[in-house]
Amino acid sequence: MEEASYNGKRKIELRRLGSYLKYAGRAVFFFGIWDAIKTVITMFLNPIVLGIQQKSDMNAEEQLTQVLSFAVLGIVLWINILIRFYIGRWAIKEGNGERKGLFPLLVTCVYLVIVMVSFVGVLKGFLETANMESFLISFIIELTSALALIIIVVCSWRVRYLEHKVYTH
Amino acid sequence: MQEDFHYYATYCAAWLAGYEVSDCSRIAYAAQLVDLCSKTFINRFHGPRAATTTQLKTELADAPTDITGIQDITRVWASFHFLPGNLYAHLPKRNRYYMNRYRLICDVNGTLLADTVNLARKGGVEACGIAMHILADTWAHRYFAGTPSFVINDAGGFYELRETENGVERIKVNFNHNPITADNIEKCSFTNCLKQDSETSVMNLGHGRAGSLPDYSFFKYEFQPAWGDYRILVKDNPSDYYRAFCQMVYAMKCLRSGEQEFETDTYDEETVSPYREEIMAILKKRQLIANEDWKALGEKLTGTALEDFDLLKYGDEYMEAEKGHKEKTFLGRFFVAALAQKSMVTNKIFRSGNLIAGFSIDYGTNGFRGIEDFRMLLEEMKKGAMDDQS
Repeated sequence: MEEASYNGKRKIELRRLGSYLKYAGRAVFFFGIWDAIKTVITMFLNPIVLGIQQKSDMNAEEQLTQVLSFAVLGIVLWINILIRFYIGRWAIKEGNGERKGLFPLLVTCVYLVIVMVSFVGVLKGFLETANMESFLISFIIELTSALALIIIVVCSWRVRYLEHKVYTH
Repeated sequence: MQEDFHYYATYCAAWLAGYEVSDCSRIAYAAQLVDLCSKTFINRFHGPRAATTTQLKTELADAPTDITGIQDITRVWASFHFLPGNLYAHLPKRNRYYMNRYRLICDVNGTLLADTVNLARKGGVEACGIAMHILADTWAHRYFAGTPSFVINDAGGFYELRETENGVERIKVNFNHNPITADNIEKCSFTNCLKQDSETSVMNLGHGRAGSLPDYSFFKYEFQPAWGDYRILVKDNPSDYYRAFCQMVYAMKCLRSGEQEFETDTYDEETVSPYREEIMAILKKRQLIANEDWKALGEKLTGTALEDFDLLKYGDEYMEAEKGHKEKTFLGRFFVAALAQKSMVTNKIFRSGNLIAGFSIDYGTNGFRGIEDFRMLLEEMKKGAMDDQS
């Protein structure tokens, strides 16, 4: 029977999908690192943030509100980074043949939906911004990152479908 | 393959094919010399540099990888160590650039192998030795191409298929890139070339990504070559090496007879079968090199002592010969045979519409328009034609 051999059609496709998962997982992982660098720049090198320390016309309550806002923003950004690391690491393991159940896949699907929805805001900003070049670069990076997530979702579903076919027929 | 097979095993095969002991030595020497006849070696004797049959690591490190550099590298490696299996292979949905490299993949029993052995009929024992080296290497180096190409020669997923008391065990091969560390058979730890994404890097030449695994006669393994489209290939070296040995015996019988045309996919198992157990024991013995075992077999077969390989053995003869008589020395005939082989393979690659080995001119029919070194080959060919007529 073809499937019993090394090079049955489905086994070859499983290896191909595994390879795609590994590369896409690495891409999501490294985009997570990029997000971390961006977050650090946003939080600590942003002129607005630096400016807070120098503003003397804001009262203590207003300053506290500003600081708390940035703290919450920072927490959300770091959670985003951790989710990317989680998804990237899981996809690499999935590509190596380790199956961790459906939960990571569902997390990836939900995260992908959030990313796609966030594109609306990104596009809005793109249309309003004066600095087209830097926005365009950021947009392309975000788009690539989203594509990597799509590849992970599609390949992971396909792997589960094929494994079910290979080992039950 | 290594010295154990190219020198000692070829000596044994030549004896079984019916050659005299002295001829066996010369054939074995020529077979091993193919792995050592670099530009550095030839320069030592002021020989024709176009007759190089290999490139040392130091030479490769300096070799350019522009178009002409790639052609130069390909001419050497595809002609002597990675003889293409099918220059007219076809794959759907691949562009010309890819196919030019795919068609150089070495494989056994190709038409070029028959051309190589039959070409050696016109030469002496030196040409026979070169042909035997190439024949043996088609078995060891199959599935890799003699041109730097990432999309062809990259490989991964190496697992040893080790026979144990409990059956066949699948053991992951660990590679490191430190050339100083020795390969460790028991831990399955070997050295290979660094992964280089650049298509034409010399790290992607031949079986660099597989390290020395193709050259270990005992090793049976599976791997995924880049050109395989996620297929797993199993390489059974003990079995392949035995077939190479049987094919060498058959080929040398053809060459010795002078009339019998070599045909591919033919093996003289009848002559070899009385020694099959001994040979398989040598091939399957887990050791990095089997010189001593093959040497012992060779001495047992011939009843005479077999000297170890000495690279400079025929150097003095060549140096002391007068100009115009150098072609009559051992090294001179070796150089002519190497030029003939390189010309033939380059011509075949060129005629298949592939420029990766450069241009080729039929100088025999269209007049001499080439580098000076090949004039020597043309003169020898003319002498051979006149001898045939007389």
